[in-house]
Amino acid sequence: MRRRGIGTKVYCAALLAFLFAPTLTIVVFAFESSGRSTLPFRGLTLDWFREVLDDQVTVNAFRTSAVVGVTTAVLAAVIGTLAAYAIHRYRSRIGQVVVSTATLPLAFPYLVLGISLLSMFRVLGVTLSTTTIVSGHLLITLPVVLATVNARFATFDSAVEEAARDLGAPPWRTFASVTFPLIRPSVIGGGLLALALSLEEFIVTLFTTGGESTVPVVIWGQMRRGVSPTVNAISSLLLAATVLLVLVTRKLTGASLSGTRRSD
Amino acid sequence: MSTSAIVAPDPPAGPTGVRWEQRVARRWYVLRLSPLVLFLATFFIAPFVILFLYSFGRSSIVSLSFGANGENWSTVLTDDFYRTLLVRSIVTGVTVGVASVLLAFPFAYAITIGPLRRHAELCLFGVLITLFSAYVVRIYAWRTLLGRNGIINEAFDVVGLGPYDFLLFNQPAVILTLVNVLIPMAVLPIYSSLAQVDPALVEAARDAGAGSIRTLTAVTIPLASRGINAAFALCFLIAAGDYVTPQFVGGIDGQMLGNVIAEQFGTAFNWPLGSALAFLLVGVMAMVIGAWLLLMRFFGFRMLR
Repeated sequence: MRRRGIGTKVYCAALLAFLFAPTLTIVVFAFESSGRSTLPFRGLTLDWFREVLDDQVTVNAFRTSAVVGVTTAVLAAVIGTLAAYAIHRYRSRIGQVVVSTATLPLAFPYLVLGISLLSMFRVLGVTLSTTTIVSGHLLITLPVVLATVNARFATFDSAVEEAARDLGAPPWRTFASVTFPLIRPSVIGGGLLALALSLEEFIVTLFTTGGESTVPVVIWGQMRRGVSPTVNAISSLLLAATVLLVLVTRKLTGASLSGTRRSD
Repeated sequence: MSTSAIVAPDPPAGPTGVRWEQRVARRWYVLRLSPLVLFLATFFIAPFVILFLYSFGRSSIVSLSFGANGENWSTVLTDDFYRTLLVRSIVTGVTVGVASVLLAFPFAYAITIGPLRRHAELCLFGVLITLFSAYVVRIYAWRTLLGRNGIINEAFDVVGLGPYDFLLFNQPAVILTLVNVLIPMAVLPIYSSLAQVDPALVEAARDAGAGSIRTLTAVTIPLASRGINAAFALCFLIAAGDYVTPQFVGGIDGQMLGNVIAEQFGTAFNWPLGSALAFLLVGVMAMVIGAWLLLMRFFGFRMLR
């Protein structure tokens, strides 16, 4: 019995090692001085990071990613929270249909989402820009925000809202001073997850960009030209941002995050 | 209807009748739900309709046009080349889906019911970090790892073997990379369905004399089937629809239908053909998911008895 427990633990450790192996290699070789992504390890350097920060294309990409990510996160949090609140307050069949529809994009390959958006923008004559990138990112991140906020509402005690109403508070006041403060961690958590997803999104971005490159697009471009040591450094910076976001989200939403999935 | 027409009304001085309140409530409901509805109609439903219409259109070197010709569809449905790639996409997707579920289940089990449940938080955190690590970065990492001068071949070199070229640029490399990328996606749904399994039921099965394997197949797995189905569906959908992984680690023999679709919307500039291929892929993917659910239901019932 005890030996089987050890077997399971070894398995889990091995699985985690397998999951982390590729990204860890990237991070380690971002500090490798020879610029070859292989052994033996020659020495430590920060040159690649310096090179990345001196490169205007990369710096612009980080700026574009930040703008797209923050815009996406804020819009997704607002639209998602409004919808989740409406559905929480008035359970109706329409609400359920809307939530299911909002989750549906996750059932399609990102490639198909990308080309469908591209088709529409062409038909309507919309010039591709960071705005069109944001629309694609919203499609992917809205279900996540909805799931996070809905999960919070599932355990929400509506009695506090009723109390506020009974005391004469109008709807907006009830929302602003009772409901929202209670759901705020989930709203922010959902927004941060949307930001994390937006930062790493690549396929939809590729079809909806008008020439502005986000960080993953720059990585992809450098990959196509072959292995370059700066890719490791750019990737490491992107990974660092992701880890930070996941950490903060975890702190804000606590264990409830584990119940949040990209889809159900 | 402009939004200014339905701004927040002033609060009533007191209760002024139920009907008025209901009307205000309904108005608020519509107002709060409408951004999402408008967004989905504009950026999800409309684009799909347009993409579908394109599949009946034509393209020349410089222009695209809608139309009502079934040429693209007959090409897509009869051409052997596309069929080969479609089969490869589906086979890759199913393999990745099954492998991810099989690898993720023991992990999810260990951190919910098994010996690692006290460390569930930490383990899940690790999974979440890999889940959100950029997908392009992980593909790039595998290309470096598996390459001729990659770490794996260097390790073989130390013991006097290799270098092996067969590690990269084929279908197994695509499957390995996708499984690595998608395991976190499988862990989370399985974890949350296992977390809802009542430990008393598992114990009851044991007390009733069921061995651990029988407990697993007769109680735990059927109870967690929702999460298992979600995990398979997610991994399958992403893997079968992917084109970036085959592009970078697949070589010529690992190319999938997604690569051809992406090409039609890029350099080949034949959107109508690409659109027909995309709908073919989505349709066949839906059938595979349906078949999986039927299969699971069949086994699920058998297991419960």
